[in-house]
Amino acid sequence: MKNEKLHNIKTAGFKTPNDYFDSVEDSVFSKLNEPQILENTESPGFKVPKDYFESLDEIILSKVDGNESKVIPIFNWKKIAYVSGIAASVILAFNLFINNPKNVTFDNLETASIETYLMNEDLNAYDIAPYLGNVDLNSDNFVENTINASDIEDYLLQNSDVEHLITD
Amino acid sequence: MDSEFELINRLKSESTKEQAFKELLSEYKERLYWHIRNIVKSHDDADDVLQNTFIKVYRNIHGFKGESKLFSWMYRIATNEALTFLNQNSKRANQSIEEFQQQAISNLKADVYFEGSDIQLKLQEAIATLPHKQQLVFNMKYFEDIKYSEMSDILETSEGALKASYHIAVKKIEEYLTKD
Repeated sequence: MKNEKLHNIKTAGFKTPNDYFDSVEDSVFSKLNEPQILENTESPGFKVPKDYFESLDEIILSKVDGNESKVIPIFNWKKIAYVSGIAASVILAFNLFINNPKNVTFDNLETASIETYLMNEDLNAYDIAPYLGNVDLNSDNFVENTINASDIEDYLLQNSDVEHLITD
Repeated sequence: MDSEFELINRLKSESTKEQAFKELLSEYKERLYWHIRNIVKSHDDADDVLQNTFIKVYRNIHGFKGESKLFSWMYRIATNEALTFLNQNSKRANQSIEEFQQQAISNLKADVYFEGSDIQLKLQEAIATLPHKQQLVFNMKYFEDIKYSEMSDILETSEGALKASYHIAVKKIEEYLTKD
C-alpha cells in the first residue's frame, strides 16, 4: 500500500450488477408510464358565482358597520345578583339548621365533593400511603385493551405534538 | 413585516380602521375563501363562513397581540369558523361530522359551482376519509400550496409533524384512489 501512487489508481473501484445497463431503459420507461394517480387534480374543481369576489367587500363592510349598535340590557343584573345572594344565604342557613350534621356519613358524600377536597388539600404520596393495602397489582388490568396502529396514528396526529414525544 | 406592523396599527386605530380593513379584505378574501371552501365544500356555506371570519377579525383585531403573523391569525380564525360550522350543522342534521362531510361531497355532483371531473370528486371522497387535522394539512399543502413554515404557524404544529402528516395523507389517498 505504501508504494501505491495516484497515477497507478485508474478506477474508483465501483461495480454494477450483471446486465444493469441493459435494463436501465426499461426501468425508466416503466416508471414514466405508471399512471399518475393524482394527475389533473391540482385544482379541487370548485367554482364561484360571477363577480363574487368583486361584490364581497361591500357585503362584509355593511355587516361590520351595521353591528356596532349599543346593547341596552333589559334586566338590571346587579340588583338581580344582590337579591340572589341574599336568597342563597337564607337557603343555606335554613339547610344548616334543618340537616343534622351528626347524620353525615362517608356514603352521603358525593364523589365530586371528595374529588374537590382531594384537589384542594395539599396531599402527597406519604399522606395517602398508610391507607393503601398491600394487594399485588394484576397486570391483566392494564393489558386487556388492544389498540391498533391506525388508531394510535390518528390519535397522535389529532392530539399530540409528535416532535415533543420524539425529543422528550 | 414593517408594512404588516403598520397595517395592524391602522386596524387598531378608530380613525383608520375602516380603510385598513378594506385593504385587509382585498388582500386576503380569496385566499381565505378557498381555504374555507376546501373544508366546507359548498359555495354558499363557504360564503357564510368567510363573512363570519372577517366579522370576527374586525371585532377582535384589538386583541391581536402580534405573537404570530396577521395572516396566520386570520387563517386560524377561518379554520376554526369552518370546523365550528361543520360541527354545528352536523349536530343539527343529527349526523356525525364524517357523515355530514360525505353528504356535502355527494351533493357536489349536482352542484353548479363544482366543475371537477370524476377523479377530482373521488379525491374529495378520499380526503374525507382522513382524520380532520390531516385533511387540513393535505388541503393546505396540495391545493393551497402553503409552505410548511407558514402552516406550522397557522396550525401551531411542528414542521416535522406536518411533513409526516402530509406524507401519510398522500399514501392513504393513493391507496383509496387505486383500490377499485
